[in-house]
Amino acid sequence: MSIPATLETVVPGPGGRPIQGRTQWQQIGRAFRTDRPAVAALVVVVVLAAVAACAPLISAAVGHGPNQLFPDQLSSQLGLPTGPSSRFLFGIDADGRDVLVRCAYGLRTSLIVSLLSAAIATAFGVTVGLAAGYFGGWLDTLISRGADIFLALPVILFAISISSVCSITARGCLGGTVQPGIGLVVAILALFTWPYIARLVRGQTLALRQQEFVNAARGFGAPHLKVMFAEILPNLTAQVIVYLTLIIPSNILFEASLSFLGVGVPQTTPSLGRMIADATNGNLFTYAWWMMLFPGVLLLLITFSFNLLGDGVRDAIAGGG
Amino acid sequence: MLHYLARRLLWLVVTLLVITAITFVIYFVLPPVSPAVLFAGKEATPALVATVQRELGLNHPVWMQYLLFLKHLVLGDQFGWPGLGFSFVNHSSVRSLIAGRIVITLTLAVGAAIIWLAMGITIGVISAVRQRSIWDRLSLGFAIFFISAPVFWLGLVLLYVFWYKLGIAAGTGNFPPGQYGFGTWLNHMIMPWLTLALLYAGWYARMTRGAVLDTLRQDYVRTARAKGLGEARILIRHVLRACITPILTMFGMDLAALVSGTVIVEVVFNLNGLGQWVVQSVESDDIPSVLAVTVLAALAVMVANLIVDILYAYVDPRIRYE
Repeated sequence: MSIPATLETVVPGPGGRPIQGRTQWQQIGRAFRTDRPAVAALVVVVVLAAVAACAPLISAAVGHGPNQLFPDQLSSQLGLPTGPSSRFLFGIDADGRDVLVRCAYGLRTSLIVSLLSAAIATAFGVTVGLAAGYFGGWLDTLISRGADIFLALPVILFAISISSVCSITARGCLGGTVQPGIGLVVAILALFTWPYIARLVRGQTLALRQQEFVNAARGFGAPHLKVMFAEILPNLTAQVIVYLTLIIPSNILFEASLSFLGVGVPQTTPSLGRMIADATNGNLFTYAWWMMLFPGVLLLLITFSFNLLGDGVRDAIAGGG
Repeated sequence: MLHYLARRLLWLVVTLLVITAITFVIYFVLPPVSPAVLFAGKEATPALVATVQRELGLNHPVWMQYLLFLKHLVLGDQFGWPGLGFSFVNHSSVRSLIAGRIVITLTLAVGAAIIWLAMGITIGVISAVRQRSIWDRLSLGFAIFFISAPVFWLGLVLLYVFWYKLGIAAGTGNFPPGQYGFGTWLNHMIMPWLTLALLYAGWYARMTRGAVLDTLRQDYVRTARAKGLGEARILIRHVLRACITPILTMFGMDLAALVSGTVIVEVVFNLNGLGQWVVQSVESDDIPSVLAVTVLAALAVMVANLIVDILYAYVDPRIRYE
């Protein structure tokens, strides 16, 4: 039996042009590049991420801090917020703060919270899912059933419960390990998203475990941990990435919802959800439409782009991978 | 079937135990202050805290406290069944406070569910039958748009456009039909229903589309066509019946998420149901009320999931014999 040609081997094709093997990722990349909406979405995500990263620069450029008050800008008689102007492009809110600067900082909060929680949930979900699928038995039962229970919980009520209980005193929860603030929101989001990833990874691992390359690795004496992370995990990366593109926008929306309800990030941290909540105070949005429009459109734009991007990645992996 | 039911019921009991344990940990173990202080509300006198302490059995070890918590829940307390405790902020039993609000929440959730199922399935079937048409593309855009839209913002935009600017929809607030007449009530429910329904309709449209497309390729559909059956009949009798299972599965999984949607829509549209109340209770540090709604909602989701599972076994005989 001859040794099969590896992907790197260059084989001369018709017309003298070499036929070159492509890796799975090259194929996925090629499929993705032909999907115009997805590429556009990727551009929007990158631009918005840049805006979020440059929030301090934007703040410096216009010379307004995110929590800086400009009470002199409120309309003189009723103290109402004023709309977009050359000095305040997105207008100012009811407290006299620059909506543009707050939007940039709010976007930053959204991205930090959603990416961080997605990263934690992925790390935990992948580990637990691999263990459940690979070892099976009682460990699998325990993890799968645990994930089922988490998935059936009314997340928002538990999130409200945890953040209300842990925000009662400044000391937080568990002797100060869980403090009210961004960390708590990240923890709650991670707590309720890991089961999705664990379930996905478990299912795939269950199928991959039976494959010959896994047996071969075991036969060569590879320890369990090495088989799990070096042999099985690389085959799951594509699916986990697809899932991540779904989890990130849903986490962005969830953080915004919690902040809208007043149990998310603390008052001093600008959040798009809280900005929209500020606009609903006394139906203020019917007059100060800019307080509702800009943070809302930004939220919609970022989640919409992530979802479109996720769709593109999913199609590219299904077609090219 | 009986065997399946028994297994499901057993699983329900286990889940409930775990959920009550999680809730118990959140309220009794996590907080840095004594639960008695937490439960007694903002302006608690030392005497009141002592009473709450005794009532919650906080002088017992933690496992006893948990059993007491379970006992109240399952067997009821001095305010009747289920034992959900006393709201010291509202000076009344949580049970009586919930009774008045649960109907509003259920009306909102059930009405929205009917709308989104009808909308999602219709759009999904149309885009599957007219695959790659302009309708198909539009419905895909529609689905991703509403999946991405923050529900509270969507509600506000609808309010701004249809109530404030155009004046064709009613504003916020709950107007019980008995007091204000059916028309007024319905008028005030349309936008909350729509907002909540739009949030989910997109997912169902996409899923139905996928399921219908898969089923249309099946041999039995070709056989039905070969027999000379009309397209409408094939679609309704042969294709849609096969799509009930995935739709039902998704519905069961969405019930927990529906609770979140309901809370937010109630807040946006000022409907005084359980969702708005729980948010107000957080603001007023009325912890017993938050606890009660959390437990009840988890219970409701579990029971609804059980019903979905039973329906599931009913529409798909394979489940029964598994």
